[in-house]
Amino acid sequence: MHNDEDKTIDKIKESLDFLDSSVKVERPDLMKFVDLVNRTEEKKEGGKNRQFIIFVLTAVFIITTETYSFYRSFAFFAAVQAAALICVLPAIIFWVRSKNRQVTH
Amino acid sequence: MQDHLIEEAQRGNRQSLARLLYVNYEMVFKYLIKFTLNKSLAEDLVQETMVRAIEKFQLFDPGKAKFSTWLIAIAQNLYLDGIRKRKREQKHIHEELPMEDLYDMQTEHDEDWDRVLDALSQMSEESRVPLVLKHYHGYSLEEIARIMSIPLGTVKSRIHNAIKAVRKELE
Repeated sequence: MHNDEDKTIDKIKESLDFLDSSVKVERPDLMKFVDLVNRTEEKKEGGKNRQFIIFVLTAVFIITTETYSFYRSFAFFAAVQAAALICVLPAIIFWVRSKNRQVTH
Repeated sequence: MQDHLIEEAQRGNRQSLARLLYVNYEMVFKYLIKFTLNKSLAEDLVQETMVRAIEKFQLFDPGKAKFSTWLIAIAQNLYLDGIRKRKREQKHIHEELPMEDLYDMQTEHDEDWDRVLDALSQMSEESRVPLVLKHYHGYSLEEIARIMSIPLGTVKSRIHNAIKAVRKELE
């Protein structure tokens, strides 16, 4: 029984080795890779710019809300500060973690 | 040669990064084809791997792993993520693929190999992947359970059933 299983496993290994050595690989030419790198890098740059715009808009929104709340009442201002503190910290942690997450994990 | 390309690519040279991916294309494709036994799926996965590698290249640390190992890890994760996603969506890739698409049938080879590859291509990915990981790449059962996020007992039974299916084809 075990002998049969070992023989089957050997056949599987041989078959996959054969596939490895005889598979037809159609590798695109180098220019296609250059195009792919350029396109992906440009997309990455676009993503960074979008992130920056969102960051600036969020910052402007927070500052405006805080200034307005500060002039309205101190309690309102304190509540806005507390809410910002609660929301911003987890958001920063989440952003840093997603930014540095290894692709191999 | 690859070390020089890595250094240049890390300095921001796009041509070097493109060449680095170009020289590793065949290796990644051959790794994936043994799991997928499906040429177009393997080609799509290599493409995805290359894009992911470009996006995350700044995270690659040559002191920790070889570039080829890093690429293989990305490719394997993308493939396994795909299986999990298809499982969630109840979609299964089950195409009867002619072996002529994969290799030249005229090449001198053992007829049993055709039967084995045929049996492997007919079984589900959930059975084929643990079998290839265990008996071709030498992963332990525990490692397979961890990377596929399935219980150890499931890994054992899937491998057992996969071997049984191949043996039946060979009889």
